[in-house]
Amino acid sequence: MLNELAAKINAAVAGANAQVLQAEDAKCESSILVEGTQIHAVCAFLKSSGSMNVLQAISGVDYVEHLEVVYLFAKFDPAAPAQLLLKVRTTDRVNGNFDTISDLFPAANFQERECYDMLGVRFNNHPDHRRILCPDDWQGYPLRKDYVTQKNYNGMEVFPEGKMNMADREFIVRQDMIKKAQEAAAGKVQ
Amino acid sequence: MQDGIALTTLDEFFNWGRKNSLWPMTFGLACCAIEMMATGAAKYDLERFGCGAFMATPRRSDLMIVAGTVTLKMATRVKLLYEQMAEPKYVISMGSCANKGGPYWQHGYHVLKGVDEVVPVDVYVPGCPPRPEALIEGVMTLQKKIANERLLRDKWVKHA
Amino acid sequence: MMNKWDIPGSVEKPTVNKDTETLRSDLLTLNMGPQHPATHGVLRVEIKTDSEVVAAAIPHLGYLHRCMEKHCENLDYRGIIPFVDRLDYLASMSMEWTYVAAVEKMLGTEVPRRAELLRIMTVELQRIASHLMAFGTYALDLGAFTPFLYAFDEREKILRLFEEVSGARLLYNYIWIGGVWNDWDDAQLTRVSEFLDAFEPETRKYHTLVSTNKIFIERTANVGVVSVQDCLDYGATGPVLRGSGFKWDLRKNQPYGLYSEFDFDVQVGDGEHGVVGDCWNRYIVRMREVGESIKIIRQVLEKLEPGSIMGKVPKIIKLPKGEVYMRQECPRGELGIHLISEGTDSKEPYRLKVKSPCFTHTSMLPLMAPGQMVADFVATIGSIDIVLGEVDR
Repeated sequence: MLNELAAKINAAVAGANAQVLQAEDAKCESSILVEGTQIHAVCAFLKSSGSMNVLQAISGVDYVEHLEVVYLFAKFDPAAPAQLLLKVRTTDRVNGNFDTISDLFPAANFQERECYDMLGVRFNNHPDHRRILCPDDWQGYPLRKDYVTQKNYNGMEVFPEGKMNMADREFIVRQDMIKKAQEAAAGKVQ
Repeated sequence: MQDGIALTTLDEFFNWGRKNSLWPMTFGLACCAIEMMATGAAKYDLERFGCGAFMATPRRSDLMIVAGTVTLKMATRVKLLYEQMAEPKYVISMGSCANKGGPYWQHGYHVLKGVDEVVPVDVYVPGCPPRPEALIEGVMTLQKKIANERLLRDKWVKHA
Repeated sequence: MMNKWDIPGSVEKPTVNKDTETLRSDLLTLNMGPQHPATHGVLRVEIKTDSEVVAAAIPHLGYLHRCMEKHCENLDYRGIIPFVDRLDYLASMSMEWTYVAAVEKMLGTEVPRRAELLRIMTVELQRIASHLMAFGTYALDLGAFTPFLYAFDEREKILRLFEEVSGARLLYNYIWIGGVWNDWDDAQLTRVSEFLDAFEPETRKYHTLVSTNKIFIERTANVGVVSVQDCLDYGATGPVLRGSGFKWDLRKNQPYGLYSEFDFDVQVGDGEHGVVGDCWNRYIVRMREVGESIKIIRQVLEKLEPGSIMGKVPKIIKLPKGEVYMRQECPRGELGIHLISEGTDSKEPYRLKVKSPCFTHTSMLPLMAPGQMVADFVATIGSIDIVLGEVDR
């Protein structure tokens, strides 16, 4: 089913390069990867062709080599319910951006703001492009793997030493990946 | 002794008045707020301790029960609301999140590790969420604490 | 959307003749929250009003952002269950089941039949408790205190049942990967059925007290109307979508667990009072769903047979490389869990994204607000039934 949908997307939108990312394990879900610059046209096609009529969420993931944004679509049709995972990628960690789809799916308004807040991916022409969950003057993008929490916010200590078991506070897992990401980020800044 | 005369000390009289009519401010933030509402509802009645009148405005309340996680975004508002309350005022920190950050202490970059970073707390009630009986015990402990206050050494009295 | 200037006896809406009028009037910006008795938690809505009528409403979120998704990247799969509990703390069982179903799908576990039936029973009891809470607080927002006490009293009985079996009143940690944690014995199941027998006539009392109450109808009918197309555009699900007349319930349309074996109806708003898509219809969908949940629980009690309650799950859970997007019908809408695992070396998820129904419903507030009076806006917020723990995660 995904192969047909990818073929339809490729036929309708030039330059979309839709390819199916087949899941390695049969229990997991496969997804479709499209070119980031064509996301608006692809979503317009999905909406106008009736393939998907609801945008459920926009999730962002930080794979250290690239940032990935996953659009979770669903079709609310009692005859043929379906869901789709649509992915776009960017390797630009500082200025990665995509076009907003909030004119097609108004649900994207808040979802894209959250993606920006958590991952730092910008959305062009968004009507209200600011952080949604963290305060407006927060530094850093929390769900990135190289994220280091700021020490103070408005005079309050975020992790006060007297109250924390500092040894337990560090991320226990994926330390090598986190260190690699932080070094890469530091290398780029310097 | 004639009828109609009672003898007491000023300390006891003032403390009796203050502890038996603590009016809480509705300051439920998260899950503990539901348990606070359950404590105020019919089964575990908080009204029989005098805490029945839940005021929405801080100007009229004596007691702020901080029920739930205090985030950094919210912390400035907590402080503002505390300063808007008229003295004498008391704070009960309800639940682990308000005590020391709760289950979100480890990597909660946006969680304030305990509401005592911004307001002075009188009683800490542990639990996640604390049972209504635990909150009632917290209120009773606060009542005992108020009963031990002394007017001349009172923090509410501004000494000249 | 009905323009609230159409009140019988009111004066015509004043229009400004730009040639002759030199009086300039601005919109007044009011701040509702974050500490407010009627916003169901720490929601801040910035309202721009033109005298009493709302011209625009901008919700500001994040006052309860507890960094749950970041925590999940450092916890093993079983340790995430208490965090998922605290998302929508009024419907913890539903939250747990959605997450556990996502993990079980990737793991390929067989869940025993008795555990599946117990899961359905607890989730439907939780649905009743959650809708009772919505009913009680909604009436409280509109000024009626008695339904709040009735709702909490009934809810206490359900919480007592849950406390016996899971140990906690609000955040249970009961539905585990592979099954459920604790079994119900016959005495407890008898108490469930006794509770249902006592509760069902009470629902008729609540219907008479609130749903057909003239004041309640006047405050909620024709208020905050959303069309089906708006709901689909904004991604609304659950009672908000069903209140607008669209018959969509994941338990029937994309059945999970053993729901395909059960006989129940999907309730939609039918415009008995007011117009389809208004606050009254969203509210009545919830009340009627309570009746459907009672039906489902009675069927579960008939079907239950002795058996094991926990399937075969490895001691250390490691998921294969891949992702899954699991959706389930929770009392407030469809909860979606997008779980990404990086392979069999790691015991923790790589990313856990929670698609929260209340987050999408909050984004509909700027759509529903303009043209209402401020008191109607309070009724609208109550009718979409948000829980900030889920909105802010």
